[in-house]
Amino acid sequence: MLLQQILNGLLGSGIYALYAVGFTVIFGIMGVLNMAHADVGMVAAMAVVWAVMMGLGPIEAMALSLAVTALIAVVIERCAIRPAQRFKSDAAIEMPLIATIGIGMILENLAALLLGNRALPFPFQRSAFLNIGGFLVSEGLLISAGIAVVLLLALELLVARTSFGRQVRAVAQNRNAARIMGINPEFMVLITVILTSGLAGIAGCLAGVSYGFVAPYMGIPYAIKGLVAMIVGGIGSLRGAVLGAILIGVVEAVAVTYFGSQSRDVWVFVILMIVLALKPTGLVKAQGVA
Amino acid sequence: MAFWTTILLTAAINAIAALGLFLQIRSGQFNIGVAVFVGVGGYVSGALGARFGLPPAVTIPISLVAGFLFGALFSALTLRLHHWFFAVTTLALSSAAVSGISLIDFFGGALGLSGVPFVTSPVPIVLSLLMSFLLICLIDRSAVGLAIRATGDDQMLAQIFGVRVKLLRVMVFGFGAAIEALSGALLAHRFGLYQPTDLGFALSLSTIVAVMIGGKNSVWGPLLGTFFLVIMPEVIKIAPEGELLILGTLLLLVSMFCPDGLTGLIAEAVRRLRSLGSANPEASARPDAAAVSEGVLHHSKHR
Repeated sequence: MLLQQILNGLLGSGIYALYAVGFTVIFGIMGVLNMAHADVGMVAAMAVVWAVMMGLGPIEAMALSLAVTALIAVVIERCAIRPAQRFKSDAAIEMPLIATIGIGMILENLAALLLGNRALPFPFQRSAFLNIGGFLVSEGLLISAGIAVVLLLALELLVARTSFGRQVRAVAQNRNAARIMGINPEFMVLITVILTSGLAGIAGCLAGVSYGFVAPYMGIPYAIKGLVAMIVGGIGSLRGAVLGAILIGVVEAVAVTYFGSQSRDVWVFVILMIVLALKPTGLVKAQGVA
Repeated sequence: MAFWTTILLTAAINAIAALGLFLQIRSGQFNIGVAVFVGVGGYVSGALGARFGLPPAVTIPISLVAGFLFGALFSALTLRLHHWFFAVTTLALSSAAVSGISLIDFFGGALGLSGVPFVTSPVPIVLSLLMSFLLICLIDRSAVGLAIRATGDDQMLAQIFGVRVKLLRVMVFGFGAAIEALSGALLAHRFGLYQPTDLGFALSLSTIVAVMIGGKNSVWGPLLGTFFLVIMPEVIKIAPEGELLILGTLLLLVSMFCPDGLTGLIAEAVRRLRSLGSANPEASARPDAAAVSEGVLHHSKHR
């Protein structure tokens, strides 16, 4: 029973991890938390639902959804993140914070106005259960965990091994020095926001695949869990974010079994407070940024 | 007429919460989970009244103390956090509180707390608003207010200048939370019930929007913002989603074009008018303290 729950938690944490690395990378390179990040995932999933309602095939729907995601990423970067860069002191957090919260509200309520404020069935849902070695495994969660692992490995390789990753890390370390070395920081930031928004979009669709429904306000719980996973794991570390997501996913699944489904958010908060009390820098020490 | 009285009283209660949040934001502690601290007041005062039959005159002060203790404890636990991550913990707190409170039978469980003794007179609400406003005005004008602003601007710099930052943060957050609890207690006694969803993100958001649209640089900001927020939907009647869409857009516009909100715009307009009036615009354009400190910060913190 316990092993079964841990397995469920592990599989479910793939989606959290995709959101958490997005928060981490954007914070690493910009020093800004993008509060609209999880809502981008919601928009991507809703775009798929809408495209299928309009009679498009799966491939077209995916392409449309990714295009919408990229467009929103550009809007977020231009309207919310870049203007906020002109504030310098510690007090500067309010502006990007409310700007991204504002974008999140716009996305959520626009979706609710256009498609109705209700849960919509996701067209490509996989809600069957497979029996693997005595364990019951949700097919959708298995698929999403698999895709998440592949994407996270690809992201790690991209950041750690490629020239693009080196440029991103350079901008994260010191924007001016990077500029002197011939890197265009604004461009790198834009690309990074688009890339992480793509990950969020895929995570939103995977949530639809796994749980069968998408709704305009589904982003907020994922935002909270992604952010908590990032802090628990250690800010600025990709591996930390993934570790934090796994911890959150497993604790949640176990808590649901032993304390009822109402208690899961309480335990997420308890984990956050315990980690902050014992190890305020998070579980994994950040090496550089992102 | 009765309709507008109701609306304005609701606005007054919300404005109290916005004043508490204003103080917290000033000290650099951006609280995204305001509704939780409001709810502490509502649930404590409401439960004492509903379960033990105590009169509101006794339970509201108790709820203020509870609010202060809860806020101070939360702030003490999260002292080491950078602003951003403090904001995230308050967000996690709000989602935890919604589901946590529905597990406790004493507070009415998932159905919410009902049977709270009613207070129908508008006098306590108006008095509370006046007192909170005057108190925050006094704090803001005093040396403590300066220390709060300094801490909010740059914690380390404030510490160098002798502000006891940790104590200040805990006390200010506790005090803000007490004011928020007052608003919650008034809310509970006005409607006779308090529900778990009242602690959620949606209600926190409206208080944040009120402070930011009104302007976080003036005590008048939270008042102006709240009354704007409460009256706007009554004037243009649209679906709640449309209303939130407008608020989100306003937040974005505030962050892009006028970081000091409505009060900032008004102050700017007044300054323009004055410089039009006087013959020499240079003489009236006296740099204020905030601008000077901003200049200092820009030099000290070139990133």
